Amino acid sequence: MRTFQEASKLSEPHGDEEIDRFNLSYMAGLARDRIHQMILGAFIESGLTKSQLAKRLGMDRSRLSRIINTSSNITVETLGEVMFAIDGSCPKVERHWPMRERQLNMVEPIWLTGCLESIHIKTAPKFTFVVNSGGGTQNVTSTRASTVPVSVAPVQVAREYA
Amino acid sequence: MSTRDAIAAALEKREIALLPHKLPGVPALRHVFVTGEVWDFVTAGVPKELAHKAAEGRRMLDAFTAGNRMVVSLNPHNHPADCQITRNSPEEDGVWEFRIRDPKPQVRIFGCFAERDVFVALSVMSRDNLKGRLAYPLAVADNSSIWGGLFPGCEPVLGADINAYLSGSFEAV
Repeated sequence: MRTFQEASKLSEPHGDEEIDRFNLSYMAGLARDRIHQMILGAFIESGLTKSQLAKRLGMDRSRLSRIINTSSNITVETLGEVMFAIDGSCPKVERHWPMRERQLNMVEPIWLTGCLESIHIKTAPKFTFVVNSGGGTQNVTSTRASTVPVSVAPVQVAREYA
Repeated sequence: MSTRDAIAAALEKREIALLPHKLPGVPALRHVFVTGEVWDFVTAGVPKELAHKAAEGRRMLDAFTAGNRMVVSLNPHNHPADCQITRNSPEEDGVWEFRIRDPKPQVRIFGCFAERDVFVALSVMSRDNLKGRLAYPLAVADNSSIWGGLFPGCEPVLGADINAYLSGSFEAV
């Protein structure tokens, strides 16, 4: 059985310690993604066609398509032009510290809880579970250490009154 | 066995893992499961020279998980070069790809939709290894058989309705 562990943990930088290349690239991409989401969202909301927007900008349609479709590395100037051409807006830049956000527990689909309803926690810190399978029980080490499945309460059938 | 049960079984056998968003405070509006091969790639278990490419792959899968607007194409034969997710031919195999176009050489993360908003990433390939007439059909067949091995008797999402694959925000092209 293989283990699934993050080879590169993301954390805020300290001192003069070199930041992992993977994490630097990830954060750069995230910033591009946010800009792309802003452009794509504004473009869809505007109801414009790509041809119309390309005309407004005096831009080649294929270049505009690249800007709309992908989180490409556009310049700040291009961003300003495109956003203004879409709806007359100007991007406002803010700082955000994603590593200071609280860890969310709901990372798995809700239905996984239902599929694993016969699994109950025995000792939470070690993430060892007891599976009730027929007559006996069996210890299982979960692959999903970050969340703990909750057993589903039996359905109460309401009595019908005449 | 339903696909959900098959996913739960594969998780227990550690054949796949749920890929959480790399940032702690991002709610999962969609879900990505990955095989060991994809996990190693998108969690930096790769040589340093591939780190940038791997980070792009992770960012794209995380964008899916976060419920970002994605640019998607159902048509394997006629899609814009710059769309982010596209279905592959033959369509009845239900194999899709996440397209990591930069840096070059490009990379593809192949996988199937287990249900709406649930993507199972099965393998990673360099675009350089997908050149030639037979390369793509072979890659799709390979991924189809990986799916079959992981979830025997379960079909991935199929059909022409884009809403069966993704909900919420997407831009179909």
